[in-house]
Amino acid sequence: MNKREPDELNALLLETAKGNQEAFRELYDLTHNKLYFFVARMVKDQMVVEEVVVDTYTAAWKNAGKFKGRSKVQTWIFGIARNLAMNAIRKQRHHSALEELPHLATNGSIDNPAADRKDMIAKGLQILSSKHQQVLEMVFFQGFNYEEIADILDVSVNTVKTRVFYAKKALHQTLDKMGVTKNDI
Amino acid sequence: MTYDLEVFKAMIPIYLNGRISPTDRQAFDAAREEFPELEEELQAFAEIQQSYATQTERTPVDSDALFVRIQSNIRQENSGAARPVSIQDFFHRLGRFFSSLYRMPGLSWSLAGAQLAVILALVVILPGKSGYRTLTENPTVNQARVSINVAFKQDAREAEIRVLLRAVGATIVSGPSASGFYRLEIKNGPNVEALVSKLKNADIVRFAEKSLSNLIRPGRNNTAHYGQGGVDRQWHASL
Repeated sequence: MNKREPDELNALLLETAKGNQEAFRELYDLTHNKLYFFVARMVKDQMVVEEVVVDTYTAAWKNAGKFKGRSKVQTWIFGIARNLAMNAIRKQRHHSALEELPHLATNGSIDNPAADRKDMIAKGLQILSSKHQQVLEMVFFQGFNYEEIADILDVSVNTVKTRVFYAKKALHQTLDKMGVTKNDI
Repeated sequence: MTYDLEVFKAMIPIYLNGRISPTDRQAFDAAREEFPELEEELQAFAEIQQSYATQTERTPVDSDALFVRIQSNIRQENSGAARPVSIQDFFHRLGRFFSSLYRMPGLSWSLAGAQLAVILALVVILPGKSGYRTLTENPTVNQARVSINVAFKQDAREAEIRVLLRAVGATIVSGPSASGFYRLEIKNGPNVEALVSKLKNADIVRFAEKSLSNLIRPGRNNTAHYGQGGVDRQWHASL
């Protein structure tokens, strides 16, 4: 995460609150890509993802003046997206379970572990639970720290830390099922 | 400040993503030499991080199209915000008003008479286009947006599809159906036919026709009205 971003995003949100559409567009440009993938991790259905992203920025535009600065701008926007995504999930009850991807849950060793290792990890990550995927993605893709993740997900910092480590453990268990030994990783 | 191994393990993710404080980073670097287990754990997380490093190359977000939708949403919100009372509130008040009227017998007969006069006026005096409409009469055409059913060729790449959609100003509204059809919408206007033929002639498109649902009144759910097979019937009819 770029260190100049928090101040820049604050300034842009302040301008957005005054109705400055150019500032709003810039705020969108700086944040929407990661937000999109954050929502995509939760919701899966691309159309719903887009709806959630559109609604998130609509809400950000509407409520920019109410932002008190208690959290970072990006954390605030991600928090809005999370709530909207949760509502969408409640409506859709969209689940991606391990049994829906039986081809990944193979037994025995893979033929070329060294060559396929990265690929297998990527596949393993895809079949983790949404919560585990979400927290790993927030750390390693979106670059948040524990406090920011706790803010967005509305859980304690300790929960975030625990979840990250359980996610890694779950990944290893998944890889075991896929026939990738610990030595391969 | 001294930490135990578990504390250092907890720092690994933020150490890798660069969000660790300078002080903790210094302590962590020193601990890497002291605790071999820490190095092992670090490598396991580093592999996960590498997997996410390629994520920016995933399906690109069509930023402009999304932003247009956000702007349109904001415009709608702004026009909605001008309403002084909610619809539920309005009907509640209306209901209370009528129930108070019907408790007065003289007024009840007067209202019945007024209703009869309005019905007669609609049926006898104003039977033309501004009056009522039967179900068999030609439906109204939705003027604002035009729906187009499109199927892309199997080897069409997502990037190519996005370029084409941007070129004709189309947005995907729904799809793909079981047969691979998408419903697109473009702004209605004098160049609609040209845009449709641009879609038809594109190398990556195997079928593109204006949807039958353009004949539905605005605000209706077109897919629901024609059913799931509507697009496919149109596809087969065009062959």
